[in-house]
Amino acid sequence: MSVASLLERLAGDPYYQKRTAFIKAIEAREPVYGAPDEDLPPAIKNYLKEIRLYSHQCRTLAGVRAGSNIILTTPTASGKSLAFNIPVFEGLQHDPRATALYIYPTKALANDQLQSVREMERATGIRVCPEIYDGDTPSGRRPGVREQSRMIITNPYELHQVLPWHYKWQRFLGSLKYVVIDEAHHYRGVFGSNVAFLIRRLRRICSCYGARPQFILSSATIANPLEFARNLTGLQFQLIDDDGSPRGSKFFVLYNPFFEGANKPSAHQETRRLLLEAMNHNLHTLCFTVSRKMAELLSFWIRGDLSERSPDLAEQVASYRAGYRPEERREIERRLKQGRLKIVTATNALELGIDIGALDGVIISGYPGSVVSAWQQAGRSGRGAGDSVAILVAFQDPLDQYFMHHPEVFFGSPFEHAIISLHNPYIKSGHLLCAASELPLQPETDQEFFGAVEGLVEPLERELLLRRTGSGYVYSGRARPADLVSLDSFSSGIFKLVCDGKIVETMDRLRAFREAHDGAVLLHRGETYVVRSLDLETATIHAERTEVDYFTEPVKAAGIEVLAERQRKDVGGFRVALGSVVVNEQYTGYRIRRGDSALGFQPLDLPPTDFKTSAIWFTVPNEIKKSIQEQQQDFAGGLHGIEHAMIGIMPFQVMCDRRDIGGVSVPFHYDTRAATVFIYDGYEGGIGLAEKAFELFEEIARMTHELVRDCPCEQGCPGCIISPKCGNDNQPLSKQAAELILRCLAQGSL
Amino acid sequence: MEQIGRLWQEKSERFKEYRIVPESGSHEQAVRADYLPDREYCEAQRLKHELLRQYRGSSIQDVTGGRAATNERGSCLAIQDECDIASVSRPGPSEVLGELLTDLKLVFGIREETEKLLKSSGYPTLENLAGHPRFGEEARTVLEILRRKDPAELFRLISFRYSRSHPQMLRLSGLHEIEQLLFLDIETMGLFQRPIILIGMAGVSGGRITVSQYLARDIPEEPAVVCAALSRLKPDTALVTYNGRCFDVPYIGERAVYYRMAADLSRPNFDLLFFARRSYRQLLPDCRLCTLEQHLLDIERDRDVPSALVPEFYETYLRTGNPGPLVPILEHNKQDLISLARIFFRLSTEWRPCR
Repeated sequence: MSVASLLERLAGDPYYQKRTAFIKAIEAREPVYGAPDEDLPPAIKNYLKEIRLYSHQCRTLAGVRAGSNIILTTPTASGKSLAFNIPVFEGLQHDPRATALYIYPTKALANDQLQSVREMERATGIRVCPEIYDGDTPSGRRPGVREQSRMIITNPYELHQVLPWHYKWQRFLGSLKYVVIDEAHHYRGVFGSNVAFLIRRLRRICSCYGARPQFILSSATIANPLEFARNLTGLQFQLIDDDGSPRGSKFFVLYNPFFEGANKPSAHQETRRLLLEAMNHNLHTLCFTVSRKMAELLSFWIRGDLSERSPDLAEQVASYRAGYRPEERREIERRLKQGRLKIVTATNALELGIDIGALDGVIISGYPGSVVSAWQQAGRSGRGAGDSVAILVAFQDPLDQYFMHHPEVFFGSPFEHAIISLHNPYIKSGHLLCAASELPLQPETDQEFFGAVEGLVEPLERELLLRRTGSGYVYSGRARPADLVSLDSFSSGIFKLVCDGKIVETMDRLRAFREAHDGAVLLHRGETYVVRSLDLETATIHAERTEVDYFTEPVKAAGIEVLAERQRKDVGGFRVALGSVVVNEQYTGYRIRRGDSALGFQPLDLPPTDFKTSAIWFTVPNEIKKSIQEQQQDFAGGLHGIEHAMIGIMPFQVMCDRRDIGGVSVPFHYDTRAATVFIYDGYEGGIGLAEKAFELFEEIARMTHELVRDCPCEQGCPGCIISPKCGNDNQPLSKQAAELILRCLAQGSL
Repeated sequence: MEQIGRLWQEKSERFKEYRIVPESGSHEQAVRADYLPDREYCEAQRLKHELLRQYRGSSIQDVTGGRAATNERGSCLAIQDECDIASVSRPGPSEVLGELLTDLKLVFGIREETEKLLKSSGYPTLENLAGHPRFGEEARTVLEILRRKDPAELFRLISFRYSRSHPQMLRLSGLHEIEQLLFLDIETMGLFQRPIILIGMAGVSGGRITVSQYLARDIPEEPAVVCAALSRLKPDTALVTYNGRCFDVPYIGERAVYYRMAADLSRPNFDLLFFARRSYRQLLPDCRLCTLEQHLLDIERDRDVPSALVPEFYETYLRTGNPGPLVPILEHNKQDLISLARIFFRLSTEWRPCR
């Protein structure tokens, strides 16, 4: 029983045959070694013993030695940690006062890294006293770490809390030579934009103590590594992307339950079937699901399926997701590593490099939202030299279906741009407050870190949060700004989910509106909760634990007003614009569904939210409108369809979630005086999504056209133009009209 | 952009570093510094409104007195006041040094039991111990430090051997002339990373206590306030504070770094909070300075601002330009310093060496 036998089964059994859209065989590869440009110190040579360095590890070493900032984008398990640990240890040995800061997105990853650098310290004898400094570090140990350690591992949240106390960190920060940011692609969107300012605050403080640290970033493969690294840190980088590590062969299967002719398929049931198949072939398999809910449900179903056969087998299935207590998670990781678990269904909480040993297979149930994520998840199988398999089970969503029909795009060169915005006034102003509380803000000299601050400091000054003094702008608000600024959202409001008088979970305002409105069905740790009421005054969600056999889906409506057009271009005779808008969004109700059937609709009475953001929009030339109407096609339905499809496709170019963007389409818009489709950045103030979409608009239009053109459905389906979140119940909608308009847009003619 | 200023202001407004609790709150609540009984909160709000009415249209100097003091970091308001303080009999340097000479525990590795044993076998003092085969070398080092009579060095040595609340630590203050003691208390806009608005310092000489207060009339005057305070620190100055080890002293250190000023704050700091906890924890409901003065000195503060509300009072002054809310801040700070000095001297005389 092996990977090969599973593949045989997929290729041989007609049932699977029809659903297997594509199998990419990724060949095994021999290692490419390199040699350090100059000899390594004996201590490190000793540590490496027989280990030969791969080419990319040597290039990283050379780059760091030459003083460059490095971004390393080789794949998972290519020895990236070693690539940056060698030059860092070498540098710290050379200068016995020098220090290094490692930043990891999660505590689990920080723990893993601590083990390996401790091991390296032991083996090389280079004293760096590696320590973790995060929220779990007991206060009694903190001064010791600050005063002794030369290698501190932390996370952005902790760094955000630490920087205001920099005067206690003078030794460490004043000698900071290296900053290592691992899994850097994680810092994109709102989180990334916040972290970008955090890094600038760090650099500013270091520079005040006379240190100018060198940065080493490691990231998954993205389309814009150099731009991304520059945005994240404000510095110039050298890219290292030629992977010299060996690989076992891997088979990447694109599996489409929604192939032409399928009768009401369910992607979840197909995933369940494939997992059982993997179990039959004795493969250790990890299954990634797109929601917490599905991670729980799938393992529940499979345990049920297996317990009929053998309770022992059922014991080898577990689910894993954020929200579990750390000790529960460690236990699952341990059992998985020891091979005692055969199947784990997980959310992307497991995606980020946590060491769980070698797996035979990965099933990705639903495109995880980015190709980077899909490859990271697939990379969890086959860490050794043996064969492995990864299966992407497509949902009936636009990008899932696009890849099933265009595998060459999925396996082709990276096209995802990781977005960081340095211009969102909410994010920027928050960090300016933090910065001003760390050292007086001097608009001229601090321009190096924050760019221009004109227009932002004045309103803060008027509210007495900043005061202009002889030393610069001094923070003079009452609250500590680091407590007001949250790194992963705008809102500081935390909603509590309360059941039987106990707080079950907390969430931010946006998620509360979306997932915890009155009547919403919510899954938490395998338990189903039904929300009885969402109290906005007290930020409390009252819920009841109960079993229901349905789920809920919120529906929102949006209106838009143009404030200013900033840029404009002509694409295929269409006028495409980028500008500032005001969006009015409201969750108006929710659908109740069981499986694929709708059981009903309930209206909601939630307050609307007005916010200013950036948007792109295009207007349809009148002759095209006329021509479509002459063909007896539903023009408004066409625009509406394009809006949905474009929102579905855009996350491929502009790395974001579908939820991060919204759209409005109208046959006549008051501000543009024409038929218009708007796609807007869903974050107040905008986080750069619209700007990037404007830049890449031709690509987006082309792919949207291909998506609609190539979808086998007749009238439109969730795989192309039907949106589950549409506030107008997907009315009107016309696939034919959408295709016609898109053809003009993409090809420039009717 | 206007709404951005308001957004942060609202967030900041909602954020409080204290919690208002009902008077009937549990004992545990009452002792936590960040809990403010609702009665005190309401009284303070009433007081603030009264003051705003009373001082409407007044200029700051009319209300506070004092004069502008200028230094290389600008100017601020310096206010001085003095009053009698009961003369105290403190142990003098020779008395303290004499005691230290017989304290064998200053030698690393010697504890109570060993000390007893050594004393009964011909080593009553460190001088005798200098000839001891095992402890001799270390004893000679300690003797050397005692001979140098450098209070700062002695303070460091003793703080390695004794807990911060040990009477021996307080006893050490006897090494300093009374004029070398500087009582320190600061008022700020919050708990770290926000401006210092007032630094109060007091010295005692000839039965009089002189309180000097350096007030920032506006935020830009903070560096001048810090600078004025730092210039009061002479090489032989020792500090006396209440929770100053964790708050006042590092706070000044932080702000000095913030404004890129050189500050040498490493010097003996007799933090009364530690001694007060040791002495009164069992006897008093909590160890806040105002509780201590109530019970020990029989002082009832009138029209006082609770420490937690100082930032709000100062902010009201900044926003309105009405100096009224400054009055209780200055008064509160002055009273803290006077009570600090009185309780400090009281403990210094009460705590005899434990023989």
